[in-house]
Amino acid sequence: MSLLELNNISKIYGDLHALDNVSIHVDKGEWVAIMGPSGSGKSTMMNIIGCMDKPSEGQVLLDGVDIAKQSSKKLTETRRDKIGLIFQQFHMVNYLTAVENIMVSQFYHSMPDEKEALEALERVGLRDRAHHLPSQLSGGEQQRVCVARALINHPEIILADEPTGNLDEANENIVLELFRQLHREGTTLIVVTHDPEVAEAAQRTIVLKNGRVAKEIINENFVE
Amino acid sequence: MLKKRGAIVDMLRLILSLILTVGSSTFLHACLHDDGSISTCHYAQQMVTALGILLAVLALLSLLLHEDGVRKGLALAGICAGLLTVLTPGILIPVCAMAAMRCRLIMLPSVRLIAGLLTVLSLLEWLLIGREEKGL
Amino acid sequence: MKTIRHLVLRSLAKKPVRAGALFTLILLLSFSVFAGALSVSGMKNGLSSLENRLGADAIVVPKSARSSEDLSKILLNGTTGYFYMDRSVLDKVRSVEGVEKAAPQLFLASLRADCCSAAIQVIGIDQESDFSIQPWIAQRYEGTLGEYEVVAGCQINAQVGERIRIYDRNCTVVAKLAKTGTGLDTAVYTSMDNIRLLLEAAQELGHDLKISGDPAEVISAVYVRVKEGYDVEKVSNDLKVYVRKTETIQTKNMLTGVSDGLSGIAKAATVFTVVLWLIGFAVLLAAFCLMINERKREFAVLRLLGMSRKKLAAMIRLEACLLSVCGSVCGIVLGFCVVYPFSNLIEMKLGMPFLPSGAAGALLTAVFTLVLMLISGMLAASYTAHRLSRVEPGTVLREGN
Repeated sequence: MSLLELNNISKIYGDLHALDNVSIHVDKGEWVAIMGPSGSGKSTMMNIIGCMDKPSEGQVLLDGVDIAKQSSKKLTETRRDKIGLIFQQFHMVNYLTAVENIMVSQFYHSMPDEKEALEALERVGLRDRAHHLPSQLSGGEQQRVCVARALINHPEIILADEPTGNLDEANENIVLELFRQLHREGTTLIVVTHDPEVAEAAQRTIVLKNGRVAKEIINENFVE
Repeated sequence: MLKKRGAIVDMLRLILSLILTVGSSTFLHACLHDDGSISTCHYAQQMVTALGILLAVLALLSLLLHEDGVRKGLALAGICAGLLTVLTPGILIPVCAMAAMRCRLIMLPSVRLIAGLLTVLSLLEWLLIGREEKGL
Repeated sequence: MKTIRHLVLRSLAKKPVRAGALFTLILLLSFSVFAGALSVSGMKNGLSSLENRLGADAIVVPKSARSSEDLSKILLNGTTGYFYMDRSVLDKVRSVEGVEKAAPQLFLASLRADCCSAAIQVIGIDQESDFSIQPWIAQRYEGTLGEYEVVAGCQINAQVGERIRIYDRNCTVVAKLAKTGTGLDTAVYTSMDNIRLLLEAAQELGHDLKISGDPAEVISAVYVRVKEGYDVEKVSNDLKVYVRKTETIQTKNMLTGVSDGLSGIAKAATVFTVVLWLIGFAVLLAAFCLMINERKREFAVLRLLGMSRKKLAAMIRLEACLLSVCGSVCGIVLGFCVVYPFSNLIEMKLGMPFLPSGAAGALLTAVFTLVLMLISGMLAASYTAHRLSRVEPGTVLREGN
């Protein structure tokens, strides 16, 4: 059984079908990229998978549970417990330090544990920057903190929206290498991107166009 | 961040001590008598003016200097000078007997209020520098 | 980040100008509410105190343009004054129908000169017949006042056992009276015998008190209490008719004058405070509303990380609560530091009795102010709390992409 299944999902805004009868699946431990041009429905799909929105029609099975029918409150809990989110613009709380940003995520899941948060930073190579504010970190460092924050509650899925969109090549490679490491450890990754090079790092790419799945590409050159 | 916070406290101290210095000789002055005689409250006023200048100098130095140790010492001096100013009119130097006299109506409570605030601000500065030294 | 309180404190610290401005606004608001309330209650306490101290229905003074004016000033403002009439007036007053009690008082003002410690009002009373001041003295000193023994009002700068020099006579303070918030606080009280000795001493020193005749035969005023069932106005008119060369002041009129003045000031103060509070509340509301756009993204992130809507709203309210409490406490402390130390100045400037509340009254006013400001802050933040908690994280965060 797949970890995530979107069955006949549609998101309709008036006459506009942002997503039109889309069905995809993601297996546990898989690294999937979702590609498409602007307006293809990537963002809408990202919001639905990330429990930030509900589809107008269809079924979203996450670990066997249909989250499309959940209340707003339950969705928040599901997102908190099962999804780790990484954004293009990082979205750190700018008055909290790196370690505190991770602890916020812990706080709403279980309880803040500074030791565990520091270990998470160690994993992404930023232990010595733990007490710096976001304004004192480079773009790449901020994104790495976000990766640590996304991982801290051991989510089922890491959902990354254009994670390297604001990074230079060097930092992009660092983040992609982090993703490879996570994948090797068995983490399920879904990366939404418009960058073909980022998509090629994944095992499989789902291409969206006009709210529909245009094609699926298996990356035969995928390297663990 | 602390330097900015400390600068705000120093600025407040400077402004208040200038008000005390200038005010004690002007709108907060002691009793004036038509016959030109001088009461003891006049000497209290003079002492307050002098202490006001001292407090202003301490605040200015604290604003301009950056070494934490020096600033802490200046804050401590500010606490002592502030307390001295609170005690000067009415306790260390007597003022007029009658409650309706100007020195008791205006000078005494105003000086104590301003000097009290200055003492609290100096104490705040001392504590802030202490926290910074502990890395908090 | 250990608790929601930590998050709130860090959030406030990150925007010190905004937090400082809100704190200052709340401080000023709470100061004006607290100081305004204390001032109004101080005036009411002063009036009540004056009413209690007077005790008389009418006061008979020598007929002259200044006498009644001087009496008001002595009682209300604490300025010194003296005027005299023959003591036979006392018997004439007692003979008027409707007069239950009549007690004489004799006034003397010392000088700010070598002969005297300070320029103060001296009031002599007949301890046996007096019913206005004697009961008040009796609370602090039982027994008859001996030679050159005096009882001092609370604002006289002499403690019990110390001496005050009046016209080269050393008078011993045997008791100090409680504060009344009236001009009576700056006076010294003694027996008729003592004040006559002081009158003589003043004359010996060449001070012209404008007494025609023997100083032992003068009084300054007669305090009158009207019998039950008699109309005070009628008795006052009879006193005016039958006791010649005198003027009768109904204390009710004196008090009404003060009370009207007080009422006017109190109303103005209350209106001013309410208007100020309304303006302040509007500014608070605007300040919190302005936060909405500015902090949408921040709260979207917190929602994404799992903060529930309820907790988010609670966070904003906690911010408002912290600011309100801190600002109010500082405003209240400032209010204390202004009203109490400057109460004598306030009394002087108002020209009417002013007696600040005691500890219990002040505490009650402080609690009222704190609660009012807390509610104001929470209310002002409620709309923002509601709006921001409804933020859809996905939409907001993608706006910037």
